[in-house]
Amino acid sequence: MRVRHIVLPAALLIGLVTIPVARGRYVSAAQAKPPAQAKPVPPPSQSELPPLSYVCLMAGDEGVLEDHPGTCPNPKCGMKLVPVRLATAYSSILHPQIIRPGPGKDPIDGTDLVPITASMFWVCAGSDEHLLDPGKCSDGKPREVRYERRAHGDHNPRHGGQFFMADDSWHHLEGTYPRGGPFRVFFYDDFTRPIPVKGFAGAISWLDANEQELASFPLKPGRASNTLETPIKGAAFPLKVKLRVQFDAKDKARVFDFTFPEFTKEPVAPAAITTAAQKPAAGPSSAARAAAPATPAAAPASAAAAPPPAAIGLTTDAATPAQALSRTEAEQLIQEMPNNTAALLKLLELRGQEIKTLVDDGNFGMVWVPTMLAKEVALALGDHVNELPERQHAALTSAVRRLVLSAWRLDQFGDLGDREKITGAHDTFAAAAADIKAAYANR
Amino acid sequence: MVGGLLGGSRRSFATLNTCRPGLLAAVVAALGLAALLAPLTEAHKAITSPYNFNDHVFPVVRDRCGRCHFEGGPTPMSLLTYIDALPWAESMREQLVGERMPAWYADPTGPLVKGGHPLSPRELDIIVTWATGGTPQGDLARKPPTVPAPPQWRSGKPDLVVPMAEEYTVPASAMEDSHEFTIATGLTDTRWIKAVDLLPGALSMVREATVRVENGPVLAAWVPGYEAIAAPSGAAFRLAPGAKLTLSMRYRKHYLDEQNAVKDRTSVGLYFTDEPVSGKSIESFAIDGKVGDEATSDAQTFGGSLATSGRVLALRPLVDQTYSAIDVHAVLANGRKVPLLLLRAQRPEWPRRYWLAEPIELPKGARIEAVARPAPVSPDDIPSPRRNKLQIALDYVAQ
Repeated sequence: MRVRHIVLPAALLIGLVTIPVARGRYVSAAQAKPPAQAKPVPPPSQSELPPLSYVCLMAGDEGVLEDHPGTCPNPKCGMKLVPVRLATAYSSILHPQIIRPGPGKDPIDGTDLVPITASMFWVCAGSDEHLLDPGKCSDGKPREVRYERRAHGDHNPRHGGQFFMADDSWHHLEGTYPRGGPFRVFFYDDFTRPIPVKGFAGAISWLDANEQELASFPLKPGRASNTLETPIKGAAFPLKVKLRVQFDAKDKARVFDFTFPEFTKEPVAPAAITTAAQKPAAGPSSAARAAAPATPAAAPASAAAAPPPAAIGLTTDAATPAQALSRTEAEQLIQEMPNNTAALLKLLELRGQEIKTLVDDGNFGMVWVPTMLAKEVALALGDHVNELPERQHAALTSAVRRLVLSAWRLDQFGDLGDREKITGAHDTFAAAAADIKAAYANR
Repeated sequence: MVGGLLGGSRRSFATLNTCRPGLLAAVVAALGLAALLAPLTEAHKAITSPYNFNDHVFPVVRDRCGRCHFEGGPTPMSLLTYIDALPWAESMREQLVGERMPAWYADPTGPLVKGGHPLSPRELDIIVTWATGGTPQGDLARKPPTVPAPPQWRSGKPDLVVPMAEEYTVPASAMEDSHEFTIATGLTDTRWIKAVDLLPGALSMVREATVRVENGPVLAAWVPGYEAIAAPSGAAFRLAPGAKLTLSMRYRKHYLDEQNAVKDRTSVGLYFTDEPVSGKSIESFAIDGKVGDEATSDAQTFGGSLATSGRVLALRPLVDQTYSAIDVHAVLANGRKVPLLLLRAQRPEWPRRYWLAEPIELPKGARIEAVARPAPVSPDDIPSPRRNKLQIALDYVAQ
């Protein structure tokens, strides 16, 4: 089997091992957990280069990506696929023109750079040609590395809010509730560039804890040209808001659910250097904060510091809430999945708790991480079916199948931010997980 | 919007098989020359799938999807080569995750049924992972072998083949059509039928066919991928001398034939067996649920009682909308419930007969009950041909 190894943003790293992710994935600044005192990262050497990928430029076939040269899939086109190198790079939230090969600080405002997916190329002075390899220019000087943004390569919120993608895959939006209000939605395109809200119409429902509408408010254009906003009289935390928006009068209304545990905060430069682990998660929800390491100072997310494989992701103290895995832990877990059902069942339970917390908190954008892990754990449990009496086989297989399907739905719906769909998928997920547990309990 | 044209990373049917240099030119012009010189910024999904087509996806689609999705088959697309499957990858993901495919809805946690080629959880995950994670082809030197087209009669040549009397034409103006035909069998003696198959004249157009004895029981509920399963030993359908068959056909043209008139002359294949010891033919009993004007999300229970004791051999659900679950069971006089069939994500498009792996004996007066739980009505659902019936039919032999 030939497996592609493309360097991708943190969230995609997991996918390199086993877990695939939906296109256009992202990680928030909080999730990325860059090293505390990031040293400048040099561009990769020739041997470390991300492999070439080949893409079709034909409109409608931009999604085509191959691991070998060829032509666009439509035989009528005959266009040759174009080589690119896809790589993780780090960019500034407020100054997107700043792209660096590794974690660091925005030289303008000192904020942490966040991971994005970018195409990587090299240039020589005086030439616009994009070269796919480092090397020397004709004047003997080394080629300079450059990065360019890609569509869906950066879904990091710009204003400390919650970021979703519309199901047309082009419109993106970020809901915020800064101190004192108003509720404000920022709109972007697929390159996370602001887009004007001309022709947009929308309204919000303020919901109580039971999802019942307390009041509704129409949205009006804000001062920034890419915003719609409205004050919410009497708002209290946690603040639940259901947004319905049309991108033009003939368009369907699209639904996005936001939950704000507290005021959202614009990203600001740190007053003093802190470690990423010590810093509260920059994400908007409590679940994002829960995703921070439990013992931050002592537990950097590195392979060297990770516990033995069998213990990864397993919380032995029942009183301890499920902890989100670090990237490294998740990667290692997939590679070294426990081989006993007790550990797998425990892993499934903990990931289930983590997913529930994220769903309950409205932190939909991050649901996919534990969901994809849980799916792999469930599939591993399915591989142990012969440990059960035959009468239990169908029940286990059916439950694993339902969990896999619901996991993919959670993965998809998490991007879109529609609470109703996410909740429905989560209900199926939870029922399937319970059925898997029951199947093994009835041995 | 230029960005909209270039930006979508998710495929849609609307963009399939398009080659639009004019459009590209317009886009390039709009973006300026820089766009042409800087093609690296376009939207692309990353290859994150550890599964590739040649090594992982092909064996699954060959074994699980290949009965229908082969070149020239009854479906709009073949999935048996990389070039064929690639444009449909996103659709495959949607169909699988939405439980629209495979079109086999018997839940294995209920009574076991014969046939079916359901995907295992791992197989399902392989396809979705591949479709989501960049659709890699794999090693070009390991191209999968060509899959031969299936034989015309998958269960062997029938004992009697009865074709439609004449060709039927679906005109160029129609994309879909339904028609009922009467076919003379020409039988001069009583014959007992254990299985029935269909040989569509226009394989790409025949979406569904019901074969029944004129004013009698249903012999076959044919859909693409149909498997002519024989009735269990000791059970058969009786065909009297001079019997006629009623053939109800539903046609839907292949999209490439949209503007063409397409002719069909389908044949029915009959497989004979000996007369059962009981001398009784397979009969049908049906229970009907309520069907409203619009799809509903309310669950309903409906039923009816068997007038005689009987051995239940098969069930044929016919539904008006998508149901997340349908639980069919018999309630005996002592209150005991006997499961008959459990269906998950049953959709209206693919009505079929489910033969029980083990026939179930029921006493006279047993109440047949179905609890149908509709799937949530989603505005994203592609409207499907809505039927007027919510019905569960049982095929049984009276004792």
